[in-house]
Amino acid sequence: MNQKLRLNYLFLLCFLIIPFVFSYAQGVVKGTVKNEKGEPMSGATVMVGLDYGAYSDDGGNFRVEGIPAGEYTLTVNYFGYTDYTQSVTVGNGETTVEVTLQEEVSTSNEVVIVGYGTMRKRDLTSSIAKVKNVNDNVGNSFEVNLQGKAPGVQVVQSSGAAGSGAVIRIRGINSISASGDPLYVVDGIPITQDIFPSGASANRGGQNNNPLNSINPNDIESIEVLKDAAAAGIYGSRGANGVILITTKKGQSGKPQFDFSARVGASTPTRLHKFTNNQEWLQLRQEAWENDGNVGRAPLPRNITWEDALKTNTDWVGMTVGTGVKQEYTMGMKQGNKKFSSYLGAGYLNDESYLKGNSFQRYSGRYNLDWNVAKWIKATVNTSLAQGLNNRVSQAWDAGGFGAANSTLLNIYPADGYLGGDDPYFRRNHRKWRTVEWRSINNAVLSLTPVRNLEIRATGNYDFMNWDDNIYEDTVYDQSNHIARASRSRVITNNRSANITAQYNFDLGENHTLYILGGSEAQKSVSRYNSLSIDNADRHIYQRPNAIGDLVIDTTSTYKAPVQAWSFLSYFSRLNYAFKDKYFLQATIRRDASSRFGSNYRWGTFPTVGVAWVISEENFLKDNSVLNFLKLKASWGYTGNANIPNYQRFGYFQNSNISYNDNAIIFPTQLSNPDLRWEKTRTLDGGIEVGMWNDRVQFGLEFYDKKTTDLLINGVVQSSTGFGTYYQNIGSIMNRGLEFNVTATPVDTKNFKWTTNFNIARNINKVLDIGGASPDALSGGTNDTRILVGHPIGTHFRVVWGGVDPVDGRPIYLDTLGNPTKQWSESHRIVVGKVLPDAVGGFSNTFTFGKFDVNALIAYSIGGDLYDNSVKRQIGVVTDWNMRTEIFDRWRKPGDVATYPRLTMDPGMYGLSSEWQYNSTLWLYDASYARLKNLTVGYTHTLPSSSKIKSLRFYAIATNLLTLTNYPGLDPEIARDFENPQDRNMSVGVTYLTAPQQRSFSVGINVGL
Amino acid sequence: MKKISNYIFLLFLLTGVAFTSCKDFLELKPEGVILEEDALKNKDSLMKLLNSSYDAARSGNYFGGRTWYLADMMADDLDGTLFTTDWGSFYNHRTSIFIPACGEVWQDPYIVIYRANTILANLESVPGLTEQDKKWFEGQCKFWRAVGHFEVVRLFGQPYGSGRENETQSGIPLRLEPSQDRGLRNTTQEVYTQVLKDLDEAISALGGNYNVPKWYADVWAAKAYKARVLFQMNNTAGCLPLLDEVIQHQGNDLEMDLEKRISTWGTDAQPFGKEVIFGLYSREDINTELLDRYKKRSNGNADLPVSEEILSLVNSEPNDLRAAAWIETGNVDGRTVVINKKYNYLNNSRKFIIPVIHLTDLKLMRAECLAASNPLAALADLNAIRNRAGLTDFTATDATALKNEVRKQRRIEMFSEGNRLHDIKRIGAFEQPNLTIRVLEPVVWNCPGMIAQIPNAEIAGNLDILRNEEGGCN
Repeated sequence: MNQKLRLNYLFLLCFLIIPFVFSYAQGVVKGTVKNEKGEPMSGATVMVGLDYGAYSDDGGNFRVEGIPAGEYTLTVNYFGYTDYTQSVTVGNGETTVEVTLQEEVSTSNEVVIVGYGTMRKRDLTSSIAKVKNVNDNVGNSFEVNLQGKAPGVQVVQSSGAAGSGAVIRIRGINSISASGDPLYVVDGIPITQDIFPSGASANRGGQNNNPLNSINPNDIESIEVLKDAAAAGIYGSRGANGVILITTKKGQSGKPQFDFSARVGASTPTRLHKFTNNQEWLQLRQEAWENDGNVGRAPLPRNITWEDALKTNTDWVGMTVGTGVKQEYTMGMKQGNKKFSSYLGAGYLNDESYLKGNSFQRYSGRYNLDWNVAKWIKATVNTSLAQGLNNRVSQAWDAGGFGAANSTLLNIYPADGYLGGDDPYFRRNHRKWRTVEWRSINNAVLSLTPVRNLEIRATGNYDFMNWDDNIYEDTVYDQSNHIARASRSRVITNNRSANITAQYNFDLGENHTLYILGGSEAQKSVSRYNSLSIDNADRHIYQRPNAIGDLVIDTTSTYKAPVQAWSFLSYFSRLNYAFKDKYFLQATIRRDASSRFGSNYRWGTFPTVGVAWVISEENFLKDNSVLNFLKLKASWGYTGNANIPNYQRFGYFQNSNISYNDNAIIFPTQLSNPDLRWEKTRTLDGGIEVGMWNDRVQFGLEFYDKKTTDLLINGVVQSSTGFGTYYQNIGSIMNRGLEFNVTATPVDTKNFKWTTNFNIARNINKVLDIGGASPDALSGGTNDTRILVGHPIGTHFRVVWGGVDPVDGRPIYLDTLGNPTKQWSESHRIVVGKVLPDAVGGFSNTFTFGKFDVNALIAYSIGGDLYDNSVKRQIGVVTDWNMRTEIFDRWRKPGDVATYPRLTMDPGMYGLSSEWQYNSTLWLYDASYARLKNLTVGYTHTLPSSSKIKSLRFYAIATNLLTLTNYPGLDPEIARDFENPQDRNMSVGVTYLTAPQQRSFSVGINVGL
Repeated sequence: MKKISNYIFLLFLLTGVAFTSCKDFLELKPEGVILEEDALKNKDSLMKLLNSSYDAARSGNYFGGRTWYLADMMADDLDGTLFTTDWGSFYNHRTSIFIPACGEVWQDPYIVIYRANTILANLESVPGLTEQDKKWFEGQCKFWRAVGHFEVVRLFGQPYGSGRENETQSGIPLRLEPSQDRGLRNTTQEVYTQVLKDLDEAISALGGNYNVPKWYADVWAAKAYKARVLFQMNNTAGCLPLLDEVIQHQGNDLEMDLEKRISTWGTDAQPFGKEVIFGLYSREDINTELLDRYKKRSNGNADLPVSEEILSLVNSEPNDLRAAAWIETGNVDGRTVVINKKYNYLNNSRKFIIPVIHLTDLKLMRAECLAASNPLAALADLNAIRNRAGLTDFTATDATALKNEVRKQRRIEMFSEGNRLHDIKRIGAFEQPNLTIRVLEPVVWNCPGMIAQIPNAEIAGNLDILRNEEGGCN
């Protein structure tokens, strides 16, 4: 077949994708594939040369026909086994080959996904962590399960609410106002990952939206975390925070394999506070009243009489917290033949948290198809559809939920509906709140090899998200007008991208390997928002209430927000060169243009270079009996960040729907900055990788140094200019760190095997410049951390607590010189801590005794400081808040030495402006912890491949069973709800009535057919 | 290799086709907004921007609420015993830079000033404006710039003439251009000089023969405000002719119905009614910060209960009609609460007028100005007010007694109108350096907590901004 004809096919197939078969026969290669134990292996891929292949059958037999006579290389691959190669001479007859595959032990031959391609791990010049299992426990979103498994990846689960996600930071934080989240790429698709999809629904009920929970973790084959510039540089302007590549499961050749799993479990909170009862609370209130010089009985909030208060002792926390039941069922099928291979996955999850009325349900389906259209044409389709249903309840600071039970719901209030919407029981029963998300992530890839060594791939991606926030309030809820109301706020995001890449492998003789990849990519995401409210509805809008049919929807109750759109256009290239398989060079460059920047600064260029030296290939180390692998690597490069809200470069005015005396209004809302441009991060990375005793012990040590300049900051202008903030490129930040990782198999006998992994990452974050802004210019919204030059992002800048004066019982603060004062002042503040930990990591041990296995994963965090923003009222000024029993340790009379000062209802008594100002180191805690994240005990029974059931596994898993910490509050691992990305960058480790994590126990069964 | 280059060429061709419209692909503009360069194209758009200044001026952060009630909290007309958080800090004279209310009451007057400055900066470039149009816009903008600076400086700076030198005492930053440049606090003297200059220019610009749209400031509004500024500066001589002029223009006769004294829904000829010289048109669905805060709530209490001092003043003479018309007492938790009823009458089918400056205020200013020099004229103004309240004529002509009576009437008439704090400061600054307010825990008129802290939103943008002295008043 000549080249011209192939070219025609290329065109044809681009548009039609027609199956095409070649066949003309000559020689035959046949044989059997077995493992080390001599068991036949079905489904192994056998290739003779590049063009002829087959799969082994149930007996391990294969037969490749139609091979022209000649010399060929025979390769056999099987997942989890080392590739087998041998040369064969094919004549006119049959040639027989017996193949024995070795189980893969060395991870350095492992293949990793690198973005627009794959590479052998040993050849990398960059820093990539691979995690295989992210499906440990029931209900967690997949990114949560990265915790402790990948060095340098800090994972902080946000709360115990069902469907909540985690904050992930890779090697520190590079950004202030721009998002610090890594880029998530699923099967090559840069997915929609907006935590703040629209202003109104971004942070409701104390919980942010989690755009990742609609992905079924069971469908995930592996996750690669691209950490340094050399790895993430191919994603250019979007790689500065690292890239998380998610690869879903693929089909396998051979007979269909089925996997079923079922898991059930229960969850409770890790910890709860002890609050005073009604009598104790009243006593405290009275004591405060009298301390303030008043006589008679203290007035009680909400016009409650003392008589009633003494009779009422409602357990509000008990009304919001219970035991949640979790269940999950998944199914996977892998199958394939020479032409097609496919994976079909389906799952159902119902994850109830311990918060009453709170659950997350997911229905998910995935179908991945690989189609060998012709020898030189491959088509791949990955498609998924999921529905996430989140039954939401008020969680933190809003009325009638867990946070209210920990604050404003006093036990002297009766639980008979008197509090209306503030009563959790009343609220749950008369106000149904449910988010419904439809998510479909799809792509189609056409991969062509028109000539030897050239691969052209064209990919089209489509990620659809429809996120509806539905609230239904019945006639009882509206206590004044008794109107039932259904409302919905909707976000629809259509995220489309397409890329085309070409990779050529140059033939430069035995000693040289050279690949060059070139490509371009375009992406556009369009989000539409609207909200709708209908009176007299009988159910949720998504359930199509009667009112939709019967009533004309009042146009004043619908709202359509302007479209939010952004786009990227990129060109990129990667060069990989290896000499003698021991010297490696990689260079990448990406040029990105973003719609977020004006034409003068639209394009950004992001180059990287990396080198590696596999010393163990050198003669002086080759065949060393101890050291089997030793590699040094170093890289340098630039990555960027443009993840800020859209349209920030424009100055604009808005029409108002309000008029003045029926005269229309326009008003300026945003200042222009035509020079807005890329935030850039320069990264240096160096590392060493060691394998000993045939990789029984492997360790890696890496160092990195990053400097981010042109920081995108939502900078403050003096309020007297008529504006508050606008986006500017100011300042710089550095991150510097060390990562260490060791994996070992200390014991490996027939009946007992122990494998262990320990990893630790130390990161130093320092803000170098913020353009002279004051420490209070950049704050985390409602949260309470600061940014100061010379200190890390999220610095605790607070007044130092000096104890309680035994003479008068009033608080003593220390001024900046350390002198005691009774007056709190913001000018007494000094740097006293930071939210970022000094080190994070994990320690995992797996023991296998015959058919039993035990795995314990410990995740830890050292040196971060946690600020509990709610204690100042729980153990502070006596207000209309519940009080924790720690307040019993208070000053009562002259001479008392106590932890907490005299009670008062007057913030002035504590030298404060208001009770909200009672911020000091008294509420700052060491958040270091080590936590038994997962403990799994399992029993696996393998049956002969001829039997109907091939494997059976029973297991039990406990999550968050034990936590070692000095933090006296609810949970040392906390990320509260955030207002915006800046808040999310600065205030992980600040809590405000945030629900603690779940402790859960589950049992499960996996069946392989 | 030649064949390969064919493929590579093809690849680039395909890519090229896909991304030919690359500029459009990346040129995404915000929807639902008017880009800066398209915003101010004609008289109509300037008018719309001016309307937004009026809208901001009636907001809850300005005349629609905080400008008045935060001032009231620092004075002695409210009972703030149970105030907490922001309100507690104002009531107890210990605001801090982080108190949100400080930022709110600072911000909106400056938003109005920015918009006014934007219009002023565009008057020459926007086509189609007649000279008369330009004059009218100039008058509007300078009026609002003056009012904004004046209302902010009264809350955030120690008063004019407070014993510290006006030339060195910190006022607030003057904003005379629509720019984001950093600025420092001007002195009290500079602020007052600019306020008067702007008002003079507004008076001159608005003095022409215009068909002033309903519920916009006219020349009389500017003159009345100038009188208010001069009165604050204790400039009796400057103030009197303006008062005479405005009072005469307004018709001299008070609105005799006490319920309408606050709210008169006027006529086309006199849109604010008999009593109000300048007000802001508002609607309940736009802003309820003013009404809801002062008015009685369904639980029988008010967010801002009136102090017992006001109650005893109203009851100091029998048959004072204002006791029944404007005040109501109730019992909450065994405590007596005094509730303001003044704003109960504001509501006219969800629309209301925020009375920014009115005839009663001007008459009482004039009475006070004339007390020493022309007691008979002062008595005429005073007794008009007293008679309306059902009280008999006051007759004493002794300057001090007369002045005290005028001030007593002024306090009763204008409680819950954001006025008392500024009267206290004026009297303290010019007559009684040892003046204190509140009986239980007396507070000196010029102690640090009698002004609000410059908000963080201002300081964060410029570290060199001088902060107000901390330390409260007790």
